[in-house]
Amino acid sequence: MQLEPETLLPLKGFDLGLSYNGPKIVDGLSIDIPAGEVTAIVGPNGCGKSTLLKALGRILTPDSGIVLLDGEDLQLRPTKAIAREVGLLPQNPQAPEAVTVSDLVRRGRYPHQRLFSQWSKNDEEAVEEAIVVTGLTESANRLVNELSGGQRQRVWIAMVLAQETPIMLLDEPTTHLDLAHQIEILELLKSLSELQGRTVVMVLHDLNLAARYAANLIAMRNGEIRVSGPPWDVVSAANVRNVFGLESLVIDDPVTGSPLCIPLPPAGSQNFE
Amino acid sequence: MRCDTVSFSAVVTPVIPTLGVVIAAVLFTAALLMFSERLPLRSITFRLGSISGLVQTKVMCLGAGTALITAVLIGVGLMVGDYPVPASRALGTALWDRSGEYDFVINHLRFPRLVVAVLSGMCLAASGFIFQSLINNPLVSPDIIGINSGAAVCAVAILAIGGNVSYVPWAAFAGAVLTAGLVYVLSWKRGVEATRIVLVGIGINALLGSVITFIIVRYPIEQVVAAARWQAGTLFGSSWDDVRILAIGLSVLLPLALVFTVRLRTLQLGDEVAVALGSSVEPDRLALLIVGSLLAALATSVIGPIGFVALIVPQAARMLVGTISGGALLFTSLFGGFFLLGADLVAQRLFAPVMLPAGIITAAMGGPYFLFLLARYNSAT
Amino acid sequence: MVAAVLILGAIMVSPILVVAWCRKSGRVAQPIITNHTIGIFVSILLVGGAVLLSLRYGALRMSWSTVLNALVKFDETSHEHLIVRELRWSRTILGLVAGSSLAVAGALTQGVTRNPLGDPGILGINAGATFAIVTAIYAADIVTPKGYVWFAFLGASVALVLVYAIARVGSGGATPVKLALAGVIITALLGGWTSSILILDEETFDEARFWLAGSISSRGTEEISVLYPLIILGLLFGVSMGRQINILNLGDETATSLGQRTALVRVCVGGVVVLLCGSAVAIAGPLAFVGLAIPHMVRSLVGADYRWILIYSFLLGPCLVLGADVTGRVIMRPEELQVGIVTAAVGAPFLIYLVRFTRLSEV
Repeated sequence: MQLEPETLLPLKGFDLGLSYNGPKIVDGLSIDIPAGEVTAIVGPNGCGKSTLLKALGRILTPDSGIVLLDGEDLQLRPTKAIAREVGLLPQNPQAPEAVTVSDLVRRGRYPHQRLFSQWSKNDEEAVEEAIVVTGLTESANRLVNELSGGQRQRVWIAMVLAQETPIMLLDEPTTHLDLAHQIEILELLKSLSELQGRTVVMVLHDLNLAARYAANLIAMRNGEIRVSGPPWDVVSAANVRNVFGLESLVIDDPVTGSPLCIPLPPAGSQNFE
Repeated sequence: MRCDTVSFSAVVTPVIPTLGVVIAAVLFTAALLMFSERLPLRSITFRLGSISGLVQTKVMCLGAGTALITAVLIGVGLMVGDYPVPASRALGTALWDRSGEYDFVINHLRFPRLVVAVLSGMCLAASGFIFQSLINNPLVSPDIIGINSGAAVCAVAILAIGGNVSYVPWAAFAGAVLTAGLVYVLSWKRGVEATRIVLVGIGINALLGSVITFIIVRYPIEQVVAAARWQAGTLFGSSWDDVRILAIGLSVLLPLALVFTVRLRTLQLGDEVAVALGSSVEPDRLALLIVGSLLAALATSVIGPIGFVALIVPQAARMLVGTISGGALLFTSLFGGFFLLGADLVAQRLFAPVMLPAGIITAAMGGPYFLFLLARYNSAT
Repeated sequence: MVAAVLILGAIMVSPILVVAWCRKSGRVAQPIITNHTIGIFVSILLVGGAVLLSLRYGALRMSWSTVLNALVKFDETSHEHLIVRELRWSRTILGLVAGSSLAVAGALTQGVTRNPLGDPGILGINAGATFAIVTAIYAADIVTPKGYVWFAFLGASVALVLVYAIARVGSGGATPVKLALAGVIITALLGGWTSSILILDEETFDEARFWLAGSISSRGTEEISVLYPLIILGLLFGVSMGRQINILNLGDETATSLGQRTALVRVCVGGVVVLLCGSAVAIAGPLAFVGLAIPHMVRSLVGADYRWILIYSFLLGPCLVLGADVTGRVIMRPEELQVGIVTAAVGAPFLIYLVRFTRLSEV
């Protein structure tokens, strides 16, 4: 699926106030997601990254403010229509027992299906492509819960891919995965965005991986955006100190050329040499 | 001449072989189902204009096999009993020849009872399927939402005071539905959560249970025994009216359940993923609960509360079929019909001429079934 | 009649009010009762009051002076004195025994399984004991508690083991909800078998149905006196296990590293629970929710220290049972509402309250 530039959907949030029926986690936040690129949201624990992502994907209703998808208020659009344009993968999804890979990927077609049209040509093709692109062709008939962590995450991504949405929101898609699997997933997402023109927004914990794979970074702290922009604008010693409270040295990644943040030991610590 | 034929048949067909036929049918089915586990996982696509769907061949085979076995069991059930009927006459009398010496036995006693067993088994199994998939817990059945105790309170009340017996099914249905609604409302707190429904259900069941106990203690023993018998669940005295009620209900509710199965598949992935896929979680859940409750209430009001069908059958079916789908629902339903039919036949013949309520057999099967479940899981983990 | 309904309503609502008041006064984690001398003194007064009420109120109206005279200046020829001495006194004793047994058993179960729903009725233990007893009545014609109490122990143990085993199936082990569900299933299973027996034999049914409702009226003290040593043993042992349960509640791994033998403790507690519940069911039939409501109330008042929870459960359990019994006697004069029915009427709204308004449902 190749998206035309005209079908790129702008996703914006204005003056958002978010909470889980308690104290406010995010207040007065405005955000503009660049279309057709990979954006990574980073920040310390509890800064509101997941909360923001959920609001962008209408999982969480904002207490105040508005989220606009292609100029329309997200809360006013029918949820199935949104599901055809925005796909979201929450943290730690649980696959039911006894579900095969292809069965789970198929469920991603729900927004496109009608009462009597449960397996149209489009459905079949989208699922096929999703399985091929994520490299799951051999595992298509295996049970999801029998796969390794990395493979399972690929299955969930395939499901979101099968949804065929121009925008993909992913909440910590690489946490709990070992390094090799993390790289695998991030390479996949980056290539999807480049080849298919999708907008990918993901919450990441690892600042360096975010700088390496995202075209845009959004750094948050305490429910507000401290700095955003391309990796070299965001990853600097001053910003890292501001957002993470950490002293660091930022150098050029010798392999990819993206900024590499090296944390410095805290001041006054013993030198064990 | 006629009498001689009947008594000769009675001598030639003693109880043990007839029971043996039933058991053989059960074992044969078990074998068939085990064998079907080795069937490859292939799917068939069908498309006609804008109508399309995907069917697993394995589920289809299992469904067809179960339907076949059920038909065979119905045939057996027509022949077997205190008045054995030879095979050739059994089918004939049931299907096209309404007159004849066997008409009363076949068409008024046996045939309706067999059909009621199949239809109510289908309702209960489908209901259990919905509840177990919704609440994602293998120990769950429609009882938890108070269907059985709701139906029982109304039925026991009417029977104990010696009221008009024909009101019992309607009162039972109303009681079941109202109780389910009450449990739902009491457990609703910004949405329905599985654990809350279970716990509130336990409370309401206990409350209604105490009301039933109160009734049982208050009224004369002769009337109370009738109430207790209803509570054990029995297909004795099933009529074609019962068949009509069940058939109409099933023909409305089962297609609805099939339609909602797609939403069930989405809900299974967790609330957040379901919303992300465009499902409206609470209305979908409510709709499924309503359909599931109506199915169980329908069956319970006709045959009384028969335990364990709605609990065991979906479990067993899931072991064979795995993932939930429209086909899985249909197969579970058919399997439930077969199961209850078998249980009823065993209940009738096991201690002939004493007829046990079918509920006793399903309860008796419950014990070994759970031990089997434990053994299987404990060896797997 | 109106007064009676009001009394019943008041009793149904009081455990809820106690727990709700404790929580609203802001001190969810801190105990309300910190001075245990006063606390125990008050509890003993409450029990005494319940005993006096139980002697005074019943089908036959009588005055306090009559009751006092019956106890102190016993007149053998007086009809009323006989009622107080024979019927009501033995009934009160039964209520005391059943109440404390069930409350302590419930507290123990809750502590050991870390399950706030650990009531012997919910977990199917009562159903097990009941089934065994009904079988004994039917098959072996045993009609005295002395005879069938051993069956009750057996039935209770088997049910306990089965429930725990079923709940462990699947992911997550024996979570509270799975335990409750397993209890529901075992109760339904054993209840079905019990009903089958009762249907097959009308005589057994007629004999058993009053007892099945949970009643403390139809036993003479001599018949059950054989159980007293067992029950007293169980109560002593159970109440003294408070310290062990406190440690167990820190988690299996922590408890083991502190040197406790968790498996042994669990088996001992299981044995005590079976002893207490089996005896209580043999005496009074299945009484639901005493083991649920009392420990919860006590916990709100006293905090999470099981040494005190067990002691107060021991003292306050009889208050609930006797209170329910008195209500049952009074509300339908001259007939009687069985105490089991009243405890269910009390316990069910309490459980629903717990589920809706506390964090119980997040377990």
